[in-house]
Amino acid sequence: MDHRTAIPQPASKTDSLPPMETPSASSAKHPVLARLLDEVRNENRVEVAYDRVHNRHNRGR
Amino acid sequence: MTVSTTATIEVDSASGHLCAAGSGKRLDTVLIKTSSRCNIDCSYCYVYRGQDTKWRGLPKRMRHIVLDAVQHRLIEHAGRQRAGFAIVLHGGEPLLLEFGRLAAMLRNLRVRLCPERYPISVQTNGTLLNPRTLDLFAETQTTVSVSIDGPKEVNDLGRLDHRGRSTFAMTLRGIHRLLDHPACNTLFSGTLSVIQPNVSPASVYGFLRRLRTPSMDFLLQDGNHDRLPPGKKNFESTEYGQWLIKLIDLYLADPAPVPVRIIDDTIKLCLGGSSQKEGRGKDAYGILTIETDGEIRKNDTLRTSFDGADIFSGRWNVTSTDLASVLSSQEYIDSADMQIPTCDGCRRCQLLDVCGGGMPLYRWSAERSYDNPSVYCHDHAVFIRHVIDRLHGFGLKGFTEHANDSPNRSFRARPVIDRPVVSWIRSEADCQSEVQPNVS
Repeated sequence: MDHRTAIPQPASKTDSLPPMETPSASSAKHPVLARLLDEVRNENRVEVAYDRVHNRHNRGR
Repeated sequence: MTVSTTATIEVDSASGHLCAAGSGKRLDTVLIKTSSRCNIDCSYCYVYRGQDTKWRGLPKRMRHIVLDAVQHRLIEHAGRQRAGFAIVLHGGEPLLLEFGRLAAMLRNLRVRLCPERYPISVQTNGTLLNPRTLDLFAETQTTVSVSIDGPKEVNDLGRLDHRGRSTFAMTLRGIHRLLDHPACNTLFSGTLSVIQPNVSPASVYGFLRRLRTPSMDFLLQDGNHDRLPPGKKNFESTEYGQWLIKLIDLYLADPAPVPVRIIDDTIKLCLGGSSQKEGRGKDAYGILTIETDGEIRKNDTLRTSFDGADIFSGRWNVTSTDLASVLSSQEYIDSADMQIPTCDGCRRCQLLDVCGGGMPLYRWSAERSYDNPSVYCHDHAVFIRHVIDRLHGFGLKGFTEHANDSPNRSFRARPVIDRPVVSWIRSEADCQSEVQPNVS
């Protein structure tokens, strides 16, 4: 089987992305999403401890 | 042995890492095989149950001369660049190294290398953790991650000793010693579990939560197109993807969750951020492995593909070769480039910048080498789409799949996520004025 052509495709595609939407109150308050949004927001602004890890490992935070 | 270099080595001005000029192929992690044997015998072990046979000829533990050379090369490399790198003690079971050698190495490294830029961690099965070792780790700010797959009946599916006996109690004892240590909060980094797709994620997640692990991570089982992962029916089946879908639903419903790395990374990539681990996202990843005889090798996970897949043709050794020279070699650049998938389907896929093509080991077939999508391609797809659906459900609608019609683009040139959700958090004040009504 040629797996190179068997990658699953979505039902529809769009060439452009929709406008941004403000985060809902639920995402801002959700413990996981709030933390991850904060981490993404600070990725390029805050110098953090080096934390890239090998796949077999989990340093956690 | 002298490395035949292909490029000048220089410090990348942006990242501060030593790289071959123009390559951007930096060193992220040095994996140190302090022991080439293990005191347990996991059924899925990629080191001893895979394609590799070279471990049989290696010294069982690192000798003094090699340990000294490893420390010298790490400190030497750190002195030549501004940025840091991670140091991981690994095996086999790394704690099979005699305590005195382990202590000397960790103390020497920590005196020279600060924990903020040079995290040192140990991946262990936990069975040999004792108060003296934990005190050493606390002293040298070495973090500990313990491999455990879930409650006893789940852990016993794969993690048995050489006589076929359960290792669960010994691992649990080690984890409890970690939890009871005064420095537990900084010592214990979390648990790492191999997914057993036929087991309920609820039982595993619930067990690990009750265990009070500070974080969890999960690994897909090793496999490729010639040897399907255990529990996976065929290339199109999605057993692992469905397992991860159940896991994220448990995670997002948990009122007091602890971080789950594999899910956090996927969410952050969907939000326009970066992954912290290799094998996901669009960032290349640089890793060198140092064996117990001092040989410098590629990413050790490659050895699941075929015997010798992780070996550089130069057979460089830390006793004679510095790490920067290896980084300047075309072989290292090529090995770091392996993360970039080559097959046309992957390069056109709208999910590529999230899944990253998966880890190279999952793409292998004898017929096409690594020129395949991941054997987990369909699992990645159903899981990522579920993550996007969940984010949409929370009102985060920045990420939408769209065609990537430029298969020849540079992997780093243009993110698929042109306007990720993160754009609104660039500046909250600015974003308030940028917000437009959702027209979708």
